[in-house]
Amino acid sequence: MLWALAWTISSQAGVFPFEVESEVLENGLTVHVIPMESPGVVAYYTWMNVGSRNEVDPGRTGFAHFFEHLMFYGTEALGREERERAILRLGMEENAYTNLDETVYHGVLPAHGLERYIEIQADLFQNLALTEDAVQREAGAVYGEFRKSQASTFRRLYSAVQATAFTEHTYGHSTLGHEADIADMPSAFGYARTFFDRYYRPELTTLLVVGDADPEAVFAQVRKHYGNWSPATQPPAPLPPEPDQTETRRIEVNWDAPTAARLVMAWKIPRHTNDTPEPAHLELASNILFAEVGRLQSRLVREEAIAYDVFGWRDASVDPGLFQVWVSLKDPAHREAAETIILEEIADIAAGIESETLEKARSHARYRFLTDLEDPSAVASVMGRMLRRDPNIDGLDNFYAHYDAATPEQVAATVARYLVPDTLTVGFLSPPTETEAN
Amino acid sequence: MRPLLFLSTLLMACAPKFPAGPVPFERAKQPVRFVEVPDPNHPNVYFQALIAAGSARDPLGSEGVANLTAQALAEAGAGDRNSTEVRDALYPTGNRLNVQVDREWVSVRLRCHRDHQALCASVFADVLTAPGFDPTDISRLRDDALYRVSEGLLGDEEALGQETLDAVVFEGHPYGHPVAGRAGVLGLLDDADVRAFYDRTYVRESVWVGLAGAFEAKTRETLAERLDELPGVPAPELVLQSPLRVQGRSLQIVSTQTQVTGFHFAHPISVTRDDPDWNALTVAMTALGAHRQSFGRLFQTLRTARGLNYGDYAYIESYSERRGSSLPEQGVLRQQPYFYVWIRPTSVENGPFALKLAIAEIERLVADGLAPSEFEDVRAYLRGSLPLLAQDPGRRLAYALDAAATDTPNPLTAFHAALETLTVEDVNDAVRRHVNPETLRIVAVTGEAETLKRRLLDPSATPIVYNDVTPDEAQLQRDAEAAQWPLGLTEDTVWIAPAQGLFQ
Repeated sequence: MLWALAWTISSQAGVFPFEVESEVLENGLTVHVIPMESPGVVAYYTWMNVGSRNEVDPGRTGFAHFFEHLMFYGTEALGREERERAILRLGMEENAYTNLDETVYHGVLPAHGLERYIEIQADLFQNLALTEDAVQREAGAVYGEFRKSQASTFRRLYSAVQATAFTEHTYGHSTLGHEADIADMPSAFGYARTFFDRYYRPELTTLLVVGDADPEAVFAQVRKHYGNWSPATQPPAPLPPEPDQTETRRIEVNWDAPTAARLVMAWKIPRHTNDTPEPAHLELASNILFAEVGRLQSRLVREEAIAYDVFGWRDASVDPGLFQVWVSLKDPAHREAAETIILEEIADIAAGIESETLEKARSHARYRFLTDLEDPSAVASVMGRMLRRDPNIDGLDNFYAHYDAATPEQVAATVARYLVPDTLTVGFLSPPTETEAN
Repeated sequence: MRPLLFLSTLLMACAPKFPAGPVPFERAKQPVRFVEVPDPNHPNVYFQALIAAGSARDPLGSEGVANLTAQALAEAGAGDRNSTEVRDALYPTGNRLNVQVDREWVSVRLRCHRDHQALCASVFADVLTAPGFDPTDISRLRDDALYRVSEGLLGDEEALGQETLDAVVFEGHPYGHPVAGRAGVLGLLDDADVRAFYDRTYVRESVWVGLAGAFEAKTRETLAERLDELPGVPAPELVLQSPLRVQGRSLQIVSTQTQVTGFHFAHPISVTRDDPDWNALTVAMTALGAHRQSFGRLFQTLRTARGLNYGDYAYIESYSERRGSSLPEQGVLRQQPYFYVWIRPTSVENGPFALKLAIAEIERLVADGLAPSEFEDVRAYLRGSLPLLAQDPGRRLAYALDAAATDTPNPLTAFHAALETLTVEDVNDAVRRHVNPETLRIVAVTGEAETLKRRLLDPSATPIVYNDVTPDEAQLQRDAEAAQWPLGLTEDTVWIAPAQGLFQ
């Protein structure tokens, strides 16, 4: 027997409307199968527990994302071109993305091609054929991506805020990495091998198969093709802890072309977990603040009309992250007014919220979650994120139980506890003044 | 069981056709046309209206009013509710109204859990039949549009290239200005203009309405009843002159502050979905590589083999990426499409080479066509990937609405059969008939406009500069040929314009 644990959980009584069947192979690979009605279509997602947060080695920022590119180069059994052709003939779409916490390889394909794709992916994740040529080629593509990102005010300011808020932890650098490290990628062949050996391991992998699929058949195929993948001999390198922030930090980015000024206010918050109520409270607070009917929308965009838009989110991150508010201002001179309004509205929530407001936010969160589950790819995407953080589907119910149990007083208290000046980072990106522009 | 359900879905996804010949006033009095894609087991209900009210209908001197009107449907109050109350009503459903405006069509979409279908039907009907058009909201939406066509585009060089391409290919044509409008006239538009445009354009004859997913009969009834409140008068005609077809190639360079150079190039074609050559050309575009198709010739040649940029794609229909997916969004069909290629940004240094190599690929396609094995690979891909285009009922509805409103075949149902009878000769003949790399209008967006112009006019080679890749002999040979290849541009066919103020 190649597998040690197997469990099947029906969660239809809970918030998630589909049944999830799960199995953990002896080598630590976790597989979830979620059958749902979909006309001959299945989504196949591979969630790797490696993102830019794991980039602890000096000079190697951006490597998780770089590696995502290298994973399309095939194996000895199925080289890049042959793999490309096999994928083409399956009639499938595949792509990948990397963020702070994970690298996700996603495919959606005709159900009759599933077994073949399992075989192709199992071979790839165990036997990637890394070559110096591939490393050099993809380094050029990644540099191109970096150059393009430099034209984005959002990306530039996001990177600056992360770097200011996190002085030690790896959340301090962006997923694309520092330019000097990207420039050095062509010579990183040796390190690429190390990186693959360290992080592309079954115990750091979660597979999700969603749609027109039979769980037992999928488990059997996964066991057959992934069963011999060996776990790492050493655990991933530990991450540097972030020291407590004790005062507000500020960072300015000067933009050299006309653009809307951007203001960011970002507070440190706890990591995502289903076990404690604070993440659910902060998620509810974010709904109240940022939704279409949110207080910030109403005041900044409509009543005072000083902003083009306002949005924000709670990082549902693996390590403590940020609660961020983003505003595009019509005039940089409105910066102070915008900061004041944001702080006033947060203070107002911290002072107490009406139960009707909370009830609507709860309904909004629950129904947004449910309506998002509209096709196999959407389910794999939403659920992969949850199940990679907590492989037990009950965790999702726990999270929504915190939603349901939250009282106005508790949400207010959590906001009062975390969204405070000591943990705040303020970022501001401004265009040249008219004199400078001339 | 599922395939049967899918089949019934497809069979029902066709709008009633009107007999040819009734006088316009009689036809205009008919009820609003409905398209349905039922899927009773799905958790959601999808509402969509497709309205012939896109930016090509902007009156001269009021460019932007079509977009402003469409945005105001969702954002400036509806029925008895002001704009805040509309948002407040939908907030507990977890969803919001979505408005998409293109050259010819406006799509208004709302997705709701089936628990909320009565509420959503009522808000959706209010938005279409009783918009509030609050002047304060409209003035804010006008500021947004103004920002978009002025500063917003400056920070999005690829969107800037796409807008410029439309302006160049469709100069003096209703497609030729940005959907958001012109900066110089947007400031003059107000709620009276919006109201007038709505009254004239949003009539029964212009509107197709669709329902998909787990909708109940009552939801359909309510919606049908409410939408017949729209006036039964003839819709204004859209007169589209033929776009100019210019012999030879020309290049419009847009100068902006960026470290890179990106390209778009195009020429008009006459092939819409009802043309027998549409199927063949779709196969050819897939071989070249449509959106994010990394197996395509362009992607393989420019990115995979040479690391020049992030991606390179070819299209025969305007492409709008669905948020969070590389699959195309519907509601953007045009009566006058163009063949176009998008070369994503490369380094300033390699810009001239990338452009030459991409156009050489098009020439190679026209001259040599697809090989039989490549044709079979692409056909296998298209066969498999067709169901992926529309995995949820909302997307199936969007295809069905496009088909009904433009009276063209629905690719989800028609393309599969067409593929089976298609031959490689059909594809290669269609390419030769419709694609002509000699008549391309090229747009470049770059931070080094003068240098780009000089290098492209200079007859000496513009070789690729490899940073790290070590190519083989065959590739080096091909590089040398492409670098030497004359594009045929002259001082008279290359223009430079600053990005700022481009869409006045």
